[in-house]
Amino acid sequence: MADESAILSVDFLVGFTIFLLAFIWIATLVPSLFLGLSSQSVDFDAVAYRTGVILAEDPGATSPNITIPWEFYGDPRFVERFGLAVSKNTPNVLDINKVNRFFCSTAWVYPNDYRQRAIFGDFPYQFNISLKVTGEDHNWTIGDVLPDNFGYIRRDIKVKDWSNTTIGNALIVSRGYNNTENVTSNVFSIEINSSLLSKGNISNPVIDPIREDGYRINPNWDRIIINITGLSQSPHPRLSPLLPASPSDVNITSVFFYRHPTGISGLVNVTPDPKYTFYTYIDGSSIPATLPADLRDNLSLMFDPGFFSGIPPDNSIYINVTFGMKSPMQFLNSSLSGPFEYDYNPTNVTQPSLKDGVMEVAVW
Amino acid sequence: MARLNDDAQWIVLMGFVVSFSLFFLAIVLNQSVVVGQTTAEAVSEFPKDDIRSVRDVIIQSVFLDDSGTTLNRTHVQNEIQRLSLSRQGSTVNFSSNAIAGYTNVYIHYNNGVTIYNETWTY
Amino acid sequence: MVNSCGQLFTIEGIAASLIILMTAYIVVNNTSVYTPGDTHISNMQLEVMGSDALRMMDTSSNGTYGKTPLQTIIEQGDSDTFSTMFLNIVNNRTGTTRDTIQFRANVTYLMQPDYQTVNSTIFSNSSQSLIEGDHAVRVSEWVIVDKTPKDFPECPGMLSACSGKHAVLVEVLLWRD
Repeated sequence: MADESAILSVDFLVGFTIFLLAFIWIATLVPSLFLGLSSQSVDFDAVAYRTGVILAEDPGATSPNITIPWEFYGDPRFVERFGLAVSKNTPNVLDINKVNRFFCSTAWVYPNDYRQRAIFGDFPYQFNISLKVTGEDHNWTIGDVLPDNFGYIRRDIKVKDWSNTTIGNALIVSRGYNNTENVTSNVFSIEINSSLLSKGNISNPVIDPIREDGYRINPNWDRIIINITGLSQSPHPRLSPLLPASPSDVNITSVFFYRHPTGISGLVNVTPDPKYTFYTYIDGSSIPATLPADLRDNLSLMFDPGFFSGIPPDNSIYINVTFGMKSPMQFLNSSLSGPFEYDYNPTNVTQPSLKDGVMEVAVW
Repeated sequence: MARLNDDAQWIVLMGFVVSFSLFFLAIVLNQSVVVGQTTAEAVSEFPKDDIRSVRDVIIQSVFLDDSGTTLNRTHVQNEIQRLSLSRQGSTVNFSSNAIAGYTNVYIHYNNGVTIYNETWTY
Repeated sequence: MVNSCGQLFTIEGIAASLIILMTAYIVVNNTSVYTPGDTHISNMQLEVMGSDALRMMDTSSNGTYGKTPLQTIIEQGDSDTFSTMFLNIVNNRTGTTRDTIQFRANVTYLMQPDYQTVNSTIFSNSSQSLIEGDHAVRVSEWVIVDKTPKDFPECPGMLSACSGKHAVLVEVLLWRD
């Protein structure tokens, strides 16, 4: 008959208790084997290296079918990957527009936008990315304070700057921009030949075509600064000297923009995007001028990155500056000599230069 | 002979089960540590900078001229192949032709572990 | 009289716990743990920094028409400028402290005029020399130079055989102090 007394022998209890106690102690001991050894910590250096390569050697990517570079595209959702390099052919040469946008704390949500577009991986890594350009006193930084233990990589880079031109008195005289008739309205034209800038040879003869992207001027997306100086110096743009210029002798009437479509003769008027309203600075003032305005000595036209982005990349761009005279006289005028060319000639334009720098990526 | 009483052997069996699972966990843990190290080894093994540098100098050599007694292009291309083999342990073969205004450069690189082929057009 | 019938359970329990304890002890003792500071990772970091530095020295600041700084240095045999520039770039950090990387640079070229023998000369080195036990990595960069620099041995025979452009390999050994 079955025994239903439900009495366990004491020895069985003792044996089972010893076993159970040992088991519980080992079960609490085993997790300490994993202390400080989680799988994320052993690959911090690998993640830092990967992020360093993505930032320093890749130009970044937007969603397919978007032609605007990621640093100028307004909607963060369509930026798939960050990358600071000028192009795939120029690793370690960074574009200043991309650097500005990447480190801009208001453009991106910290830290998720950076994790999805530069750090990658399932684990939510913390990071600190910093960039120092030689000669500048402040660093670009994004991220948290560094802890004691972290994965690290350091990349040496160069940062590509913008081009600019200074049309001084000597250039005006040597090119004959002052050799005109006495008229009340003089027009000075600057031509930006976009297809030459984007596809033409930078040096003649060709030496190293792979590295050319690092020195290319991109008129649609670079900042372009045109300084016209020495207008009151001698030899005067006006062949009949009237030194010094009286305040209302000369004024700038207008600045108009045109583009030259390929295969069509004649120019098409271009209205710049309304968000770029201020680009004319007269006589060294830091306050932008509203036209018409009086002119005494110099004029600066500063076009922000993206100013010419609405113009097709193969169309040449013409900037016509109209000077109004109180009485008919000669002044800066390109009608007889042809427009001033913004190209790769170092006498015309100060070419983009590369500044040294270093970038550090820490991941933990 | 009386049969051995093996009623309590299940306790020892439980003990064995726990120890075997401990061994298994320890092996898994041991293998997981080498993840970070293998990544660094793979990065060092792939000759990214070697390929970039030799590709750059090959393309520069295509744009040199071969005029006069200083046979620039011939000398430079010969030196690239010889030095690449003796100092970097890699064979580099390349040739170029010009068709319809475009220059094509065909590059082959092999360092025993990595093979790289490229047709570069300009 | 004490009944020893249930002692089997006790003994089996003690035996099982002993097995588990021994296993745990062996496992904890023998599992070797590689700390992330193993040589492969630091070698990779050194290699990246060294090849970046050489590549940046071989990039001119203003246009492809001129000579790069590295080309000028090799052509003139200017080992001091190489040392200053390379150490400056490779030890540069975003903070104020600098790194402590040392180097030794060779230039390897094909001897003229027969173009058969490969020769390598020491070009430049930092003040600390390589101590046995330092882990060193090697990085290299190709340069096209315009004439035989004065540090290379004079080439016998006609001088015109040595002039012109030649490809040389700049190899740098670097280690952290």
